[in-house]
Amino acid sequence: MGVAQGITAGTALTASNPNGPSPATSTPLAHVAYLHDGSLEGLLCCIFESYVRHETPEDIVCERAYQPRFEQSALFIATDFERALRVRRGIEREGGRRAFGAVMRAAANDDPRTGVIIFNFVRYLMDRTSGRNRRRSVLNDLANPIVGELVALEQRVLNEEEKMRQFVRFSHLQNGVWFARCNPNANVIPLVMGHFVSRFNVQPFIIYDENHHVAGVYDGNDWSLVADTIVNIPDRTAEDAYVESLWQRFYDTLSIEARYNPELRRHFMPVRLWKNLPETKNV
Amino acid sequence: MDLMTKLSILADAAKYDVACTSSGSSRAAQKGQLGNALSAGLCHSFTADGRCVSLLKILMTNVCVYDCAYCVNRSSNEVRRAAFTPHEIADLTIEFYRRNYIEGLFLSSGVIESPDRTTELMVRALSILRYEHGFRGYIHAKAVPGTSPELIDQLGRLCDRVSVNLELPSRQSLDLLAPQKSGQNILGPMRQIRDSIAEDAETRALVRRKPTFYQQQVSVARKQQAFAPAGQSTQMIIGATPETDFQILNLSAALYRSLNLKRIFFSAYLPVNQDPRLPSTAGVQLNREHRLYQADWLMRFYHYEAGELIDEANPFLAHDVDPKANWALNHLDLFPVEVNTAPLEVLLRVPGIGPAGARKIIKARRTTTLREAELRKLGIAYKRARYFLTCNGAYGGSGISFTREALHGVLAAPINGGRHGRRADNPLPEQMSLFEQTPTGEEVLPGHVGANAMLGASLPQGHPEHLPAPRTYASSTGSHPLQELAAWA
Repeated sequence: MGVAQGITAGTALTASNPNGPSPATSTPLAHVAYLHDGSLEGLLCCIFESYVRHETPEDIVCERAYQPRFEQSALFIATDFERALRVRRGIEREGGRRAFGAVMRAAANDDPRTGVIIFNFVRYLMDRTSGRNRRRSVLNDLANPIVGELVALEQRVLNEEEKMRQFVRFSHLQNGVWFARCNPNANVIPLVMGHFVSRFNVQPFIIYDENHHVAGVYDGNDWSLVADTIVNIPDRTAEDAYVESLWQRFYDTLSIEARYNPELRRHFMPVRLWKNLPETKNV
Repeated sequence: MDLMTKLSILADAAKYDVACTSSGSSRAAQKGQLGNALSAGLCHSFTADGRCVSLLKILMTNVCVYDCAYCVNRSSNEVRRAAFTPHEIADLTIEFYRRNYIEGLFLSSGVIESPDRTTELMVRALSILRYEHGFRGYIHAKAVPGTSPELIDQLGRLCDRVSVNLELPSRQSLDLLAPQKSGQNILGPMRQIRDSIAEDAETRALVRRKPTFYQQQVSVARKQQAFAPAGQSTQMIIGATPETDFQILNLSAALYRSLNLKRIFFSAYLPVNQDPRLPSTAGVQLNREHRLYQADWLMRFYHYEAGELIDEANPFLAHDVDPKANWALNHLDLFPVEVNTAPLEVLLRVPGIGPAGARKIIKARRTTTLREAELRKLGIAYKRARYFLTCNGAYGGSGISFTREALHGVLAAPINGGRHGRRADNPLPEQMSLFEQTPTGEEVLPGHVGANAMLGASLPQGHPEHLPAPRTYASSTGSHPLQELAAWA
């Protein structure tokens, strides 16, 4: 990790040191946004930092997506795995592993409020009166606005995961790799790789998320994430094009004219995903 | 004939089969083998009619020796005939599966030569898939009526789900429209499949049991493939014959009880053939099919009895409100219920609250008193549920008088003024009249709120005991499920 840096947005500029305790600033900032590198660890470090600095950030966002507000200072918080792990342990101690799972999933959202919702949740979790309701999962408290928001975020990611399990389509490249391109609205590739790796363990494959520029790569043994824009993809095989045309024919044949119901199709298969599906590319 | 033409013919011939589910079977992946099965199932695409594509649904062949009136593949129809070889079926499934197009294979077939010959060919295709390709995905096969028990057994051990089509909701209709099929030929395999599934589950439970000092672990001499772990299903055509919804739902209930089916699929009759024995109506009874499915869901997930949803005096389900709302409207004396105290089975009877919503309510109310704002956040259909609920003593549906007519008007009103859903395309069943009383809710003036609030407050809090006793085995129609089936076969 590099040296922490501040971004000019409002009045104050402060740098935090990733390798030691942050210097306690004399007065906590009233209007401050925390920026992180976009990873879950970065987000957890922002939560850690808010406890160190006794501040309540108005925004916690990825630095690339930050939109400055009037009169607001911005702090870039460097990612420190030690600190992220401490926050994780804290969440698991207070809310159980299920609570951390919910935080992890919710953090995959693209929504700019994600950071603040998670921050509020963690704070609520830590502040709960000890003893009371401790044995019951905090996530059952669905009518609570703080918990409810987090659970809704988690649900959105779960839905998007399901969409990817349904609508990722592989094609066979000439170098033997199976390649899929998808455009989810949350960063769910890391969350669904497990599913694809177990199901397609006999074929090396790449799932490329063109919205988040992340690719999940499985080489036949193990999988990893690559955060980059892919430049060169070899052509696909001729046989692959034929199988795809078979699939298109099958799809077109299957519909019953007398039951035509386009609204229902759009409901189950959102139009935003159609461009990467061979069967709906030409609809 | 090339593969593309075959696929067009045989997928087209199979599209009238309704079932396309891949749920109920959980098979973990294994290193070096392709595929797994998820118990929740997975839909991979949706056709222009909104139906899901989960499995590669094809006929092995559309050659058929039978001449069933309703079927597009009957022997007297002049259609192009084709047949896949077992290898073609297996290869196509693998190629589609590897691209994540499908969850597995749904193999059905016309009857070529004889039921046994047909099933033999199907078994060969599935064996290639399972043993040569090591395929661990989902397989659903249709068993042909009249197949010998040995072949059914082989088929069941290769599949996740086996189904036999009941075709029509009564014996008389079957005799009329499919004279070459007999009730016994259909029910025989269904009974055998039920028994094999039960036996298989029992064996597995014994083997799995942890040995204790007193109880030895059972070891089997030869490990067998599971027999249809996702259970069996069936389907029948609705609207081709004069059966009422009352008969259909009672038959369904009987099938669920006595044959332990996972699902019964209804298929609205679609005229594909010209035949004097068939109705010539142009309209497809999609709405009726929809209501039947709703009633089916109520029986399977909401603990309703068939006799509660429908009776002999009104043998068809209401077309303007769903069966659950209809039940609630007929039992207004049991409502409203207090959302903070009502038990699960009572919450499940409230229109607008489903199984997921009811469980969420029970979770949430442990820590919070639920009022309108909280209920809306939980994601239940509060717009419908409010008329049947009190939240902490306050009646939610103020503004509408608590009478059958007024509530019926609210519940039957089209969603979003008719802009939502496919029914937007359909005209109203009858023209609205200026002089007819059709309460819509807006007619009741805000001044009536006080009266309704009083109504809510004066209602007793402990309703649950008024509700019918929990589901019992004997149905309220008074007949035993086996009698229902005996009437069918």
